[in-house]
Amino acid sequence: MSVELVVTDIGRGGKSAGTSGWLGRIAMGLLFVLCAVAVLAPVLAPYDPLRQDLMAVLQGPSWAHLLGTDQIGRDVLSRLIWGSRVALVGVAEVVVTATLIGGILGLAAGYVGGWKEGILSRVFDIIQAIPAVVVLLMVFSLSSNNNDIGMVTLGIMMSPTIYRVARSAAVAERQQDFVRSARISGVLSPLIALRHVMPGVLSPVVINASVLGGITLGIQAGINYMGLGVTPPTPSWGGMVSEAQANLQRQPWLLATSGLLLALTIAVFVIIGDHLQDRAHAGRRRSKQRSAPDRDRSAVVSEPLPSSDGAIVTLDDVCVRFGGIAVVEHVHLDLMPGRALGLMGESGSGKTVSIGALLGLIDEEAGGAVSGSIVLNGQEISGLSEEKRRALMRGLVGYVPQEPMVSLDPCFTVGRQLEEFIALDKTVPPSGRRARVQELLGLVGISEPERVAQQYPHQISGGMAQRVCIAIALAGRPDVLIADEPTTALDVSVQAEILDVLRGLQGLGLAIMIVSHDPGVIADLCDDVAVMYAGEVVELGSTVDVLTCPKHPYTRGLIAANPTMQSDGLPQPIAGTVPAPVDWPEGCHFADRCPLVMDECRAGPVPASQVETGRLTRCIRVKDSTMQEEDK
Amino acid sequence: MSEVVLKVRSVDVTFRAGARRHVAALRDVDVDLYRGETLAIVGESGSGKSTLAGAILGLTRVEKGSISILGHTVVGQGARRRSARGLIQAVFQDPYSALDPRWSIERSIAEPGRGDAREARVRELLVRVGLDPDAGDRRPTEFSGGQRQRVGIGRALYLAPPIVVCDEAVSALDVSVQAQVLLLLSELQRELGTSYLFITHNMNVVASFASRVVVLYRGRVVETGPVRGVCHSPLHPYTRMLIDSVPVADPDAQRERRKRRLDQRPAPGQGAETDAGCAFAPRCPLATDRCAGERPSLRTVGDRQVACHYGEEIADGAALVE
Repeated sequence: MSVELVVTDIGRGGKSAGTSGWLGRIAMGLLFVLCAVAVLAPVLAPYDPLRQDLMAVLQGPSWAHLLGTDQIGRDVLSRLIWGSRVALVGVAEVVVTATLIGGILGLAAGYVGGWKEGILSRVFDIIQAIPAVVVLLMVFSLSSNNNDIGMVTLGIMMSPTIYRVARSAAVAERQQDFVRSARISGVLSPLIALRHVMPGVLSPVVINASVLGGITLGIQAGINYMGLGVTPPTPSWGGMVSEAQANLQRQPWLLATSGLLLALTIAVFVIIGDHLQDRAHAGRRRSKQRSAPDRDRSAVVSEPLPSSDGAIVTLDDVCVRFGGIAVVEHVHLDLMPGRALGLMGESGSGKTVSIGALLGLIDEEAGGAVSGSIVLNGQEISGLSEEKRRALMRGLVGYVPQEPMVSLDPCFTVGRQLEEFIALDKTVPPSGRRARVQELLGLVGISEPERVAQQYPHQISGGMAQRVCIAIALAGRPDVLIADEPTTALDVSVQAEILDVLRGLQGLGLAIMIVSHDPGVIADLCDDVAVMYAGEVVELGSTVDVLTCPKHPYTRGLIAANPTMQSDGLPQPIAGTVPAPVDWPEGCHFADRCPLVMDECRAGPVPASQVETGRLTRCIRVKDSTMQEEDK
Repeated sequence: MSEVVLKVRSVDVTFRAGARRHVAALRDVDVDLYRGETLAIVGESGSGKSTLAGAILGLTRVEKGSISILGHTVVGQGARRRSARGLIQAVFQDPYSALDPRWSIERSIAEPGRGDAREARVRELLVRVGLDPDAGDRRPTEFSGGQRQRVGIGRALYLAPPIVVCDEAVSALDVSVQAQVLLLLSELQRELGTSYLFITHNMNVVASFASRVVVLYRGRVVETGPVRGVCHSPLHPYTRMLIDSVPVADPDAQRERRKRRLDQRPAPGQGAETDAGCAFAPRCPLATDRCAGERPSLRTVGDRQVACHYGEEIADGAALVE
């Protein structure tokens, strides 16, 4: 879970800081300049925009007229400066109207929901369906060409875009628990909408309003081009484009002035929209990004580890880093054929990242880096190309995901999806794929495979979907099944059934590696268990030994914290929380929470030591700790 | 027995699923919550436990029945939801959605209240839930999931309500943090005498935390009683199944439980669920023709209530499913 977060954070963080940041700032600066120009037009414009000089028509740029003159000798620069007033006031009228109407009603509709939302949404659908140009022509002719009325009308016609954005943002906010809490506390609905929902709606609305500004400018220029709204001789950019076009043959320069300014201003609005969007995302990420202290852990000395002879999967000294921050360190795991190995730990322990390294799911482009050796069936796969790795893994490793419903494609039937994977298995002829679907669904304990094969994912239960995912994992006839919290999203009774299925498969000779936070699940299924904490394996051994006679203080704490049916009274918590990778202590990662901590624990990295045959513990106080346990 | 603070009577909730289909989310549910106790509501997904929380909290429309909080009727005839304002608060499952990310935690904690004395009260609550009293001006993003859940609990306690509904309040937390939060809730209960309506799917948490249990199946109460009895000698076969499905951390003990559970699986091809009969019959190892034809009513057996035709026999050991 936390892995993906890190991946996307680091991946996107670098990009947004690199490109659009300065561009957005320049665009905002330009808009500010433009506004200032519009306000200061009487001061800035060198000539009266209406002053004609028939002696100097259609001139190019000169010191007297910096941007030249038009067909009746008016100064182009002055007309552009005065025209910016028309442009910006018009944009403001449209954007404010659209944002007020769409934003407020969208917020209300999304927050209230139900039939009221339905009616409002239909109304805005209808507005959007009406052709805006026709309405505008009508309004201009009825209002004797009043530009303000025209622009407000355009704002209404544009409001559905903003309405949709505001509504969906409000729906998302409404479903948050803090809104429910406020309702329970008796906070009045309008207040909740104002305090909790509106801030969440504001940022997407502002972003879209900015883009809308750009679009409006284009439409407005079109209207003025047709001689509507602002009529000659009053300067408007659209009108100037129209005049320039009429004189295109005699003075092409004229079109460049107004046309380029128009294009540039539209671009400014759109870039500002992009910029605001990036900033909104960055704000959400910033809290998660922290820098890692420089540390060198390469010098950790480990005692000789149990031999990996005969293992079907071996991870040796595997380390995973994201953006230079270690999230998994020096993991050594052996999975023997036909055995079940559990990776047990809380979130942030690195168990999911470890199997991600094995499966090749660590995204290197997003700053992920894997070191160490990963051996599959005697072949080293770390350092292999993506294709070679996939080819080696196919037919050897099957993967069962945590959330079965997300893993299945809602558009295809169960049978169809299974067939796709069966097609990769060259030993099955195309005519035999149907039968193989039935066989696989039977293997995972589905009693009516014919019927289930024809169903779509939304028609089956979560437990059934997980069985289907296991069937898909089995399609390539793997020797190893890797399952990441395969039962966490399921009800207990369904969990028990899925564990039955997995155990049945182990009975058929499959080796299973399962990630779980639940000691009960590990106890039910696994022969061996590796307990992980803050990126390290802290204890490794047979499940019976580790769970009934834990050596590492963390394992012991974890078992005591796990509530059970047998215990009287509350489970015993471990003080503190799992530290984030950047906060890992220099020495033992568990030191800050450990009841047995001494100064030596913090002195430096703690190596894994073999306390009994096949039993590893990463604790320098393991002997004292064992004695203390026996005293009890 | 002490005073009843929350009384739920014959509550029905129906959800619309599509144009003509209606799904019975709750049927004829009675619940009593006593002062200072923890009443667990357990069941699988779809059992109606969160719907019940929604109905009590005024977030879900109730079709029939009545709910009263400390004598104030909030659902049913003459109901006035606002009269119970401040008497009931909730802690929800997802610590990341529980607090407005734009608000300081002080503002979030103090939201239920009005008037002054905010800062002192917030500081007091922060200490009470085990956080730094100076942390009030920080934003939720600076806190871990477990810490946010503590802030959420502080928020629920701001008005010192006699009832707190915990809707899967510890389910999303890591085991070690979950134990911390359970400990905190139990300490607060001892100090303040708060009653908890504790909604969960986790029988292990129920056994170690609750005083009484209500087991829901398909929107109906199937068993209710003191936690020891329900967890150690359940009367309803569904309760038994729930308990046996939870794996225990001891591999040898778990092997035996598994064997017992597998031995009790109903014969495959047992009839489908009928409208008239017991909803659990198709999954029940003890089901007979009577179960398919007649719905068992909830009735008292010893210190418990159970909705199973064979509740008495199970209690006597005659139909013991061991």
